[in-house]
Amino acid sequence: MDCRKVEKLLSRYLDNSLNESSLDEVKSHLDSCEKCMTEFNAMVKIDGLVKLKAKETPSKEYFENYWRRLEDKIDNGHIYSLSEQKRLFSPFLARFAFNSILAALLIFLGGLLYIHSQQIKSLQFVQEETHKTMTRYLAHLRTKIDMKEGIQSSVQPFDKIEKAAIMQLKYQQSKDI
Amino acid sequence: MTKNEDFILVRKARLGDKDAFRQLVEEYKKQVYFIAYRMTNNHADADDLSQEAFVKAYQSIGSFKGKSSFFTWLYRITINITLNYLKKAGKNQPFELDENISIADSSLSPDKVLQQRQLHEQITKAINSLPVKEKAVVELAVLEGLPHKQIAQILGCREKTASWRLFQARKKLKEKLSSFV
Repeated sequence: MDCRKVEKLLSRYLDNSLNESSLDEVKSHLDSCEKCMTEFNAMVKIDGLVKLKAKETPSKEYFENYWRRLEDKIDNGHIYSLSEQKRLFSPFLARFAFNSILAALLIFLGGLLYIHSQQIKSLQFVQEETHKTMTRYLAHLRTKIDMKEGIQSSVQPFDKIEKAAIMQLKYQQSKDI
Repeated sequence: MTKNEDFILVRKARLGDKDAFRQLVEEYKKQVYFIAYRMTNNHADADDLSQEAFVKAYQSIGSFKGKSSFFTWLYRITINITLNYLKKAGKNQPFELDENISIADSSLSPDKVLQQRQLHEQITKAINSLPVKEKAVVELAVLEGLPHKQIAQILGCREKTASWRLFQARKKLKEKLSSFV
């Protein structure tokens, strides 16, 4: 057996998970090969270091109360597991929620802009219509003034609104001059 | 507890005997907790995950066929729940010295305690840097001392795969902890 093959079997040799024939071959190789023996010793040391982790222990009370807490969960039904809780706040879901809120906000703003533009259009329409009516009214007023100045007695006298409009018209004319 | 005692308790628990299940929990609670703790490096997570494993075992004990030992079956549930959690959490948990965990011997001098903590930190970081499946085999083989065949049963893979993962994990650990070897 060469060193390369032995190296791959060292891990199983260390854990006593080799069949008998391989076990004997690795054993005899290690007896004669210093390089592989050093490798094996390093592996043993690594395992020793890893086992230092096994010395960690929580408090004594923790294990004393273990069953009581577990029994509560069993009796009350275990609603959310830790992995499920994490899943609820997974980065994917957070991203999805953020994108959804953003999309809803954009749709809302778009809707607002559309409604606003419609309001402006209808306001412009009202303004145009008012302007047209006013123009017609003023034309009618001018005709009536002209007729008055031509001393046509049959023409009806000015009413209050017409008088006010004439005043306004004269004021506007003087301002234009 | 012998395999036969386990078998009797499992049969009782399958018939709804909660006290029988309690005895099984008392027997395996430490091992189940420590698997979860060494995989997550966090007491709170290990507590939640180990309890979740027992709740799952209690709920599905009716489906336990007895093809493997109860211990192997329980380990498989714990490992699967923990691996699933680590996968969903995205990556390995960062190393933190947990207040709930004591690692130092109280008879040691402060300098020695500090040295021990630093060494412990290096080891944990090295183990933490392993992919979760390699971490699981290290846990089961080195810390629990299980044979590769049983590890393969727990992880639901072939024995050769489990051995290969362990070989790779030990190689990486040797590189990362070369200053201590």
